[in-house]
Amino acid sequence: MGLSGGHDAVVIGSGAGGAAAAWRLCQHGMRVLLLEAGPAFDPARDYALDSPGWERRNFPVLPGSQATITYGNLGTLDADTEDLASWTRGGFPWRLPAGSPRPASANGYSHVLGVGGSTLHFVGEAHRLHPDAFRQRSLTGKNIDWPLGYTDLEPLYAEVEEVLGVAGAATDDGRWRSTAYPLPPHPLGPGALALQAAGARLHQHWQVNPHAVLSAPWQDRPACNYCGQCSRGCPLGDKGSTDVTFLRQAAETGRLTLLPDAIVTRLHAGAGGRIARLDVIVAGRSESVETPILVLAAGAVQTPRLLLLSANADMPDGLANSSGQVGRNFMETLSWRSAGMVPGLKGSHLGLPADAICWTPVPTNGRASAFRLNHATLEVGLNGPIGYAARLLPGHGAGFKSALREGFGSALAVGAVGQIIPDARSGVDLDPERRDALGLPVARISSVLTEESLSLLRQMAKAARAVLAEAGATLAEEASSRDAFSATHVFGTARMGDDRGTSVVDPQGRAYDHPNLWIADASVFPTSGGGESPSLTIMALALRAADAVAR
Amino acid sequence: MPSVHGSARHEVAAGGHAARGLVLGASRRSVLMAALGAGLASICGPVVAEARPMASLAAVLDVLLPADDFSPSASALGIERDIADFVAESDMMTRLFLAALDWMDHLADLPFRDLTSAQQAEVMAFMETADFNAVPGRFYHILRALAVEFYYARAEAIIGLPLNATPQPEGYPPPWG
Repeated sequence: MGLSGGHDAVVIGSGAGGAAAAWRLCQHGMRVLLLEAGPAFDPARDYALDSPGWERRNFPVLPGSQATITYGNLGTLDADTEDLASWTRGGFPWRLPAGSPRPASANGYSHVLGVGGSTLHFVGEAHRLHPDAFRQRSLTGKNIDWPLGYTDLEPLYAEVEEVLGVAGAATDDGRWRSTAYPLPPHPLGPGALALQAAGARLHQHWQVNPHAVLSAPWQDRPACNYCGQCSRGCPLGDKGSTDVTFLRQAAETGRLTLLPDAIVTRLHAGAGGRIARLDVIVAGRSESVETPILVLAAGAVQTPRLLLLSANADMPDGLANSSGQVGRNFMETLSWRSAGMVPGLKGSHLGLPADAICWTPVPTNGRASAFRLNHATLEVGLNGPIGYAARLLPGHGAGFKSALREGFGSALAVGAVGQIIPDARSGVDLDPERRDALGLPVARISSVLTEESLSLLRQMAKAARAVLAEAGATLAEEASSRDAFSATHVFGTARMGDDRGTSVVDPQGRAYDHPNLWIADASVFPTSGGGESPSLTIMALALRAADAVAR
Repeated sequence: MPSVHGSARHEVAAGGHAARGLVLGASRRSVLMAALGAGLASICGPVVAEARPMASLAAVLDVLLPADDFSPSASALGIERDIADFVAESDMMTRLFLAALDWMDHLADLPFRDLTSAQQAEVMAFMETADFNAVPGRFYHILRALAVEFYYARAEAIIGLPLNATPQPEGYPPPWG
């Protein structure tokens, strides 16, 4: 099976959604052609955590592993939100003045194009959406409801957790379970324990954060050895990125053909709206591939881009866009972090990144202002000498070096991620000027924080500062979405709904305008959830879509 | 402290006066522009990796990160070469570094590397608190960030810290208490 046919379905993208969909379709006996725009990574070669200088290397960038993205309206740094401005004790004493346009951070939309997609650099948080997250409109009068509920996804969540080897504790915070986690929870590190103790005094319930990281050997994968560098790539294969889970198991069926470095440039709609074929560049050559079934899972930025790029005379606004919603309703990651140093704390650099979590720790107006806190010392890079010294310690000289040796392991950081409601100005469209190496318009992200988002950010900051203060920390650094667009999780640009007039796909993930087109990534999310990491939900939705395809 | 000299670099020396606790009337912009101008005037084919600026850079780095009982100085690990290579990738960065190093070497009759430890410390203390929008302050903070990054990337530099040389292959298995 190859580009010339023989497949029953084509999947675009091998990240959380595409890999899960491909796996499920293969389980259903279908022959799947999976087209991945980026390269295949070699963990032994590319995730060099066993050579000096590791802290200077982020997740590797290989040819073709980063899409070109531009940014439109990201809002303005208003004077009345200066209390949320980023600062650092040891870093550069400079920040953009109020009134400046909000920039994108150096990473901007943080993503990976490659076999495994952005699961390659995630830390493996394995969250189920809270049941209330599906019913925002009903519960709060704001936002919208999902066209499905927690009960619909629960068995699929359980299946996904089994494939990934999720480790977690029995507590559910309303996210009820029909089965136990496959693996026992990871132990909490010293930093998490400090937050748990401090949080308890504030009635913040800190608990083990479920992870798609192996706490014990699982199937043929080894247990984690807690190197603490999940976001730089996992060389052991204990992290449940899709390359070592769904894709490997799909390949074992013999029904998967996976092509890396295969860039899909256009979809062609035929009679009745069916997607008849697509154009893909492989090894510098443009090929035409038939699409009996097409599952689009390129993420909430590239999925709308491809639909918009595929506009034709009959559909001048792009494919799947009779609702006008393709590219709209974009939701970024609303995030905050505070970090400080706790005298006497030792070993906060040890453990699993984001090992502890606290869901919605303060009274809120229903789920409309939901967020979570998590232990972030490792995740934000304060578990290495460079991050610690450059950001937390001012000064220089012998005293500076001594302070590093004496204080390393006393950093304590709290991250927060909150629900975001899309602003009408937010969206993904085609940049009218910038083109990629193939001459195609690149995706342009606009994302403006609403007053409600900024208000929630302030609540997140208050909660993070409170628990750090209770833990005895002296603050040394804070950063947030207020100052820069920086998003690992993005949502909403091809949203799911019951009404084809306001939605791109139906509750199964099928495009209203194209009977053989399914979308299986975070672009279908009607809402962002209350700070949950989305990969588990993306995967569960992808299984649901694949099951519907097979029916 | 040796006297400041050189009329062409008079305004640049505003930083030098301030370093010694003197107050001049120069605006931030004039200091910045004078410092840039003085630096650029002395540069032909600007590269940091020439002998004189490299020696100056090494001297500054050793004030930032000196040798101690656990780990060597920055220059003993050749960090000035790492930084020179990094800086060479940006024309603006190269100009900033050359301007700042030249400024530091003309604060007194002796270049920075030949000042006493106390004099060097005084200059660095001034730079640390100087306006980030002027050459001395910006150079200090950028150099400090680069120095920390390149220095602590070296296995020799993390002796005394509770860390393996690399995260893998051993990792850090529990217990952690």
